[in-house]
Amino acid sequence: MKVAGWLPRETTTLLRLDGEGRPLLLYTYGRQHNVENQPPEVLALSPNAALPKASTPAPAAAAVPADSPQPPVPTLVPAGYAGSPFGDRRNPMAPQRIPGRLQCEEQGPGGLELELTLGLHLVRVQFLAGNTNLDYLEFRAQ
Amino acid sequence: MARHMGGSFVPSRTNEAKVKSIATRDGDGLAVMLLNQLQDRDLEYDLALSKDAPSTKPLAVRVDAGWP
Repeated sequence: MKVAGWLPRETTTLLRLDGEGRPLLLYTYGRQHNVENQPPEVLALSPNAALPKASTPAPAAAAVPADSPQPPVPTLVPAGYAGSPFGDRRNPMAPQRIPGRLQCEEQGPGGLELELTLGLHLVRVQFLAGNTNLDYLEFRAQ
Repeated sequence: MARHMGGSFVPSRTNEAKVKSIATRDGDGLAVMLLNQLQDRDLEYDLALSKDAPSTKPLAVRVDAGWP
């Protein structure tokens, strides 16, 4: 028994099958969904499939005049979260000075430096080496 | 998507190192998540739900679902 399909690049796909192996639902979540903070696309592959309520398409964004204030940036950071200072055997656990250079803990072969100004506006991203996943960074216009 | 990943873990594998698969099975059926890390191409695939199901597609995902 097998099911054929098409897997787009840089996506997370979830295929839901019933108890006899028949495809019911196909979820596709790509980089653009992440960037725009949108839910995954859901495709019903069977008339018996029950679409989740959250799968209704989002309404199109209304036109915004050029001089209006910027809309809030979608974020997964909890309200009121102020961060926790980093510390290790070489660096004391204390809040880093802002404006200034924020040095991140190196978790792999790569590294990342961020320069911040008051209000936690991201000014510059510099790759030191290797690959760094930028999906988890929050960007705000200065 | 995550609410479909319930029940018991089911072993699965792919023939492409940049594509990861995770499968679970519960009382309602099977859920298979595919994470395609390839940045340069889409892939046509076969999801094989039994050990010996043949595939001629570039990507073969095999899930040991215990189905014939």
